[in-house]
Amino acid sequence: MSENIADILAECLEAIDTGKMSIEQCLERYPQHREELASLLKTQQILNLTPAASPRPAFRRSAQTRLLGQLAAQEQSSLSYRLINYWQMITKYFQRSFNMRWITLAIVAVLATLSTGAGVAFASGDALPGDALYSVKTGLEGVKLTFSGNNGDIDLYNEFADKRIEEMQELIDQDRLEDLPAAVQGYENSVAGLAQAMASLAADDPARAEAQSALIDAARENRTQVLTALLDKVPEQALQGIQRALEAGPPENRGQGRGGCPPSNNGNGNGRPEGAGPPENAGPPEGAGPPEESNAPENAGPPENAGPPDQDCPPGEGGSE
Amino acid sequence: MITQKLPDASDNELLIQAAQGSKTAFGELYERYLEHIYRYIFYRVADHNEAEDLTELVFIKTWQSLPKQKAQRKTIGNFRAWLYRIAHNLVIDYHRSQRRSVPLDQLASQKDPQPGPEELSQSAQESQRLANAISKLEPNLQHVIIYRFINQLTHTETANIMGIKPGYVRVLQYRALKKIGGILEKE
Repeated sequence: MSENIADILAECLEAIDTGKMSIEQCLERYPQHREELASLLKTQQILNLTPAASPRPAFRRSAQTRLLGQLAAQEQSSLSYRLINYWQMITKYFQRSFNMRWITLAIVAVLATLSTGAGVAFASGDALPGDALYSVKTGLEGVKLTFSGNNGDIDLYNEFADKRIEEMQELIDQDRLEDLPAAVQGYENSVAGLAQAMASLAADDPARAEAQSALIDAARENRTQVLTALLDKVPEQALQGIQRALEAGPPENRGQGRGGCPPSNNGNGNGRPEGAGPPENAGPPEGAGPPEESNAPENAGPPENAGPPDQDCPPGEGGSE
Repeated sequence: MITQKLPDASDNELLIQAAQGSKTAFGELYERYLEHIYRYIFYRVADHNEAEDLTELVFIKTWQSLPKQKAQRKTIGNFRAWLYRIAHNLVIDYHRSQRRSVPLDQLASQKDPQPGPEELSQSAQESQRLANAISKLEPNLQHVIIYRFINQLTHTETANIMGIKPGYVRVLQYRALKKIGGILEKE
């Protein structure tokens, strides 16, 4: 017989629910807790007797119709998924054979636009880490970066950081916590890329960099708020990932000593994007010396490998496929 | 092979079929859990219209996640727990958006039900009164009341969904009943 009131209550509730005991029998069994137990069981009875809220029949029907509509839309995209799998096989073959980023990026661009069509590229916009289309999304981001100038890189890395945050939010909402690390890694890469691009701009055009930094700071502040809010939602096992993302700023403190390509979580286990050249191919940036003090994280590449992100580095968000 | 009738199929069987594109299987899951999820949300937001919108969103998000389960040949260990977690996250977003849009000094008055009592049936009034009482509890006590006494889950099922030990569910259940009893008494 338990002495703990919480256990006694639980025991009584189970016994009453299964018909093994009546309320009175339960109270008689625990005379020392009779008064408190009676009050708790009375409350439980009130809860049980209160009519449970139910959705309106009209809502039940209309919501089901809308849901089935969603299912139909999903079925229509299954052809795109098959084409994407084919596309992934081809790009992986080229990566293994030549290990050349440009070829991979060209394949991404050509196949995304010609073979699978603009529809796939468009559809990939909502893809999350772990989705078949996610590598298309990040591949297209890589194409954008490849053809942008340094100033364009800043806007793009900023945009990609926002996208990674949106992906984190959506993954958490869908309880897909196993894919969260890929989004966090992508975010860290974007922040690192942003820092590198800002450092390059500061060297080339300090006045413009100063103006740009105000915008970047505002965007970063907004992202910090979103990430902080996510801390309330994620279960304990995923907290660390969000905390890591929160620590991935501010950009001006990071990346200055972060060399080489920003690490990428592309599922290949080496922290580098698929199709990217090995780190030793990344040359030092012109005029960029090693920083006096580095705040780079432990997984940051050595400063001597630093290269401008628009030359040898990937978009910063390696696909997880 | 004899196809199992859907109402007899387990959640995981339905989930696998739904991930393969079976609308019927997903419809069955929807029917099976609509009331549970709706009640969970209603008693946390105390608003029928918001509860309907959020309930629909839970199932949409569930559906959106299914292709990924299919692609990775994965099954969801506990579909019910998964649904409740998705609902939980949406409720958190809802409360956050409410806090942002409503000044703090108006929050207390906003706890009252939106339709007047004359617009609600007797049973709806009682549900609304209970929802208002539940909304005054701390979140983990709200969960226990909803899972245990509204959706009639066992201690073990509640523990599974909340990701805590059954022993702790018993402790929370005691605290929750004590606290909500006091709230209902005052009203």
